[in-house]
Order: sequence, then C-alpha cells, then structure tokens
Amino acid sequence: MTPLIAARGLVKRYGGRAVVDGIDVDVYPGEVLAVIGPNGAGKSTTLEMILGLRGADGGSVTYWTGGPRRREDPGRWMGVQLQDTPFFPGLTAAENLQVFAAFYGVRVTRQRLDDNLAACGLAEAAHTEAARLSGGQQKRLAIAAALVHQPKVVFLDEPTAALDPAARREIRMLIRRISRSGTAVVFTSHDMEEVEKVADRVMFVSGGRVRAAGTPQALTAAYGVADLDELYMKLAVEEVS
Amino acid sequence: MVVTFRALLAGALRDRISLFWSVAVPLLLLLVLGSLFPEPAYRRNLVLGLVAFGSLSFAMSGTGFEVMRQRGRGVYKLLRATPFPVAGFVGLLAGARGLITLVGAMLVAGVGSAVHGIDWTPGGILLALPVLAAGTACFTCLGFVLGNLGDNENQVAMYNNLFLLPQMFGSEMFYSLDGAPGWVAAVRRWLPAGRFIDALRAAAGGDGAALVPSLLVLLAMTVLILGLAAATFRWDPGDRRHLPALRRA
Repeated sequence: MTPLIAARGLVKRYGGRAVVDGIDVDVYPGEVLAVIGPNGAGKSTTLEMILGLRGADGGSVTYWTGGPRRREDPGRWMGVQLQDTPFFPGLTAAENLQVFAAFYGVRVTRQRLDDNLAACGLAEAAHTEAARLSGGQQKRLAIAAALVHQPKVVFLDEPTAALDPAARREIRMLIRRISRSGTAVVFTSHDMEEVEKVADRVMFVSGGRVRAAGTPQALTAAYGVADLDELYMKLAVEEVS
Repeated sequence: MVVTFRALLAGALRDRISLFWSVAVPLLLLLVLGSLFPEPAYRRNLVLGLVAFGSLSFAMSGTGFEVMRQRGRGVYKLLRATPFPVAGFVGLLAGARGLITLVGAMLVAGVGSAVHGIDWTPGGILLALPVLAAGTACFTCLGFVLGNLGDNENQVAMYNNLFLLPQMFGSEMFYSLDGAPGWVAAVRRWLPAGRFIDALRAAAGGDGAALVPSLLVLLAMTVLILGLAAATFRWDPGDRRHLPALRRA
C-alpha cells in the first residue's frame, strides 16, 4: 500500500543537540498510528516537521496527493489538533468551524457544519461561545476543526491530555470513528491503555529516535511483555540505562 | 476571505471590554467634561480628543490583547499548517478591527458634535475620513507591536500603559498643552496620537493645507510601526524559528 506520508531521516537540532535524530515515519490510509514516548522524546517536534510547522535540519517528507494535481498544498488534506486548543474565544463553536473551514479553503454548508459538530459530540454546543466550553468540549472542537475539510490524515497531539475519564472515552471513540471513515489518524499519548485500545500501529520514540514500531500485539510479543504499559516502562528504562 | 472577515468582525464586535473603552467611556467623558467645561473651543477639542482616545483604545489596546490571545491559543501556529496565508489573516484581522474603530470614531464624533453643537462642513467630513483611516491604521499597527511584545495579559497590560498613557496625556486629548514646557511640545510631535489630533483638528476646520503635514507624518509613522510590527511578529510564544524546508512531492 502506498503511504500517504513518508518521512525519511528527519533531524531537528536545538543548540547542537539533536531532539529528533533520523526518524522515519510512514502513514497509511485509514490507519490509527500512535506515537508514544517520554516527554522530550521528539514526538511533537516530529509531527510539527511533517506538518511543516518546523523546519527540518535533515531528512525529507514525501506527501502523496493522490491525483494529477501533485503540486497541491498537502495542508489541504491534512488536519491537525495541536496540544493547545486553538480557537477564537469570541466566536461560537459553529462559527469557529466555519473559520477553520475557510482556512482550509473549504466552504461548508450549515448541514455539514451541524454534521461535523454532531460527529464530535458538540451538536448542543454549536451556538455556545468557544471560551465557555468545557475542557473536553474544547478538545473535541479542536478535533472537529481538524476534520472540517475532510482530510485524508489527521494529527492529534495528546488529544486526551488533562481530560476526565468520560471525556477521554469520548475522544477514544471519536478516533475510532474517524478511522472507520477512512481518515488516517496519527496521535501522541502517554496513556498506554488508550493506545492499546485504539491504535493499529505504535511507534515508540525516545531520545529523538524510533526504538520500536509495530502493531501492539507484535510489540508485546516481541518484547515478551504483557501490555504496552509494561513495554513502555521496559523501553524507557533501557533508554535511561 | 469573506467568511473569515465576517467571523473576525463578529468576534471584534463581541469584544465588550474594547467597546466599553472605545465607545462608552468617550461618550461618558463627552458628557461629563463637556458639562464641566462649557467653552465652545474646549468642547470642540474635547470631541476630537475623545475620537482619538476611542480609536486608540479599540485599535491599539484591543488589537494588542487580541493578537496576544490568538498567539497564546496557538491560532497562528495552526494557521501555518493550513493553506490560508497568514499575512492575509493578519490583514483581515486588522481590517475588521479597523472598521469597527472607524465606526466607533464616527459615532463618538457624531454624538459629540450633536451634543456640543459642533458644525461639520461636508468638506470637513471629507477631510476627516482619510485622517481617521490613517489614525486607525497607525493605532492598529501599534496594537500588533503591543501584542507581539507581551506573552500574557499582564505583560500586554504593562506595555499598553507604556504606549497609551504618554499618548493620552501628551497629545492634547483632554487639555491644551500650550502652557507646557518646550520638551513636552517636542515629545508631542513624535506621538502618533498627537499628529492624529492635529490632523483631525485641521480637517474639522476645513483646512486641507494645515492637514497635509500632520497626515504625512502620521502615514510615515504608520509605515515605520508596520515594519516594527512585522519584525516583532511571532507565530507562537515559544519558538521563533519556522522555516519549513521540506521536500513536497
């Protein structure tokens, strides 16, 4: 299968220290790829380089555009939810979505806006000012904004961080729904239970390098551990020693 | 672009604090100071000074806080991941806030003139429009500088005081500086609000020739401040290095 995104040998240095040191990433259509690893491992920097938010000091990213318009801006079919929840505080959830659709060059109908909000569990909050939404709702609004232009791949940076268990569960279900609709999901997380539940593939990053990659089942079998939590601890300890 | 502009306009119209300072406070001061000091000459200058105060409040202070909030929220960073041109967004934001500043200024000028019996000639109104537009552009650029310098509400508030207070008290907004020391008059010449008020007074008097020097200086200041705003602009609070050099197939 042709990957949607193929990053090769990505390098990012700050003050001579490589925070990303030769990472390869492939993203396939419709898959859920979890990028895990300790804080400062280089996960977010890698995603931001793929998105073009940070310049790479080395390596390349090849984007598949899937059509004759090969020079099309990949930003048109990539969605992103950053660790912040970017929105315009004075605007309602629906208005925010409209603006984000315009950012992606898409004109959305009222119906599509409502469908998008409903898909992210925000139907009743459509006319609430974004600043008044709960933390979970703001995260879901950020995800809805990332999906408003129906991208082929969506990047979610710690989508469940600082959320209560109910909100985390809703986001997990949302990730599965996005994947079932054919959109690839790349997300970072520190919650191994969550990763095990939703990810098709896992990439463990530490010290700016990929230490292990594969399906959750293949990884736990290869390392002789019971679950991803144990694997995480094992790899993190190996890294420290 | 239209959708974004409309949304930014709606957002700016819901900026109650900026609207309070740019419209409600000037209208209140018009009534209070106008009734305390009934001399026609003072009232005339007061109306024009309060137009400047309102414009400065919305275009500069309001924009400064808005820019800081949007950057802090990661809006600019996210925007860079979309095909939408960031410069276009900044232009739309400035345009939306500028439009409301202009409407607010006209409202204050209209009410002030009606209440204090100031007659504007059609020529005076025509002359005032480019002055209001130039002042709004200049103050909006100052607002971007303000928002670029501060990382949080407290910092922007401090920088706002640094920008606002000298212009409030050194530009003849509320009182004449005729009796002030020479250095105060010298400083006043370098304040955008001072030039704005001078040009506005010339326009209100229908004196196009007297308006031109102040308007030109104001425009030159606008260009300089725009350059400063561009030089200090930051995509996100933490990182200034954003030069995507990736190969896109």
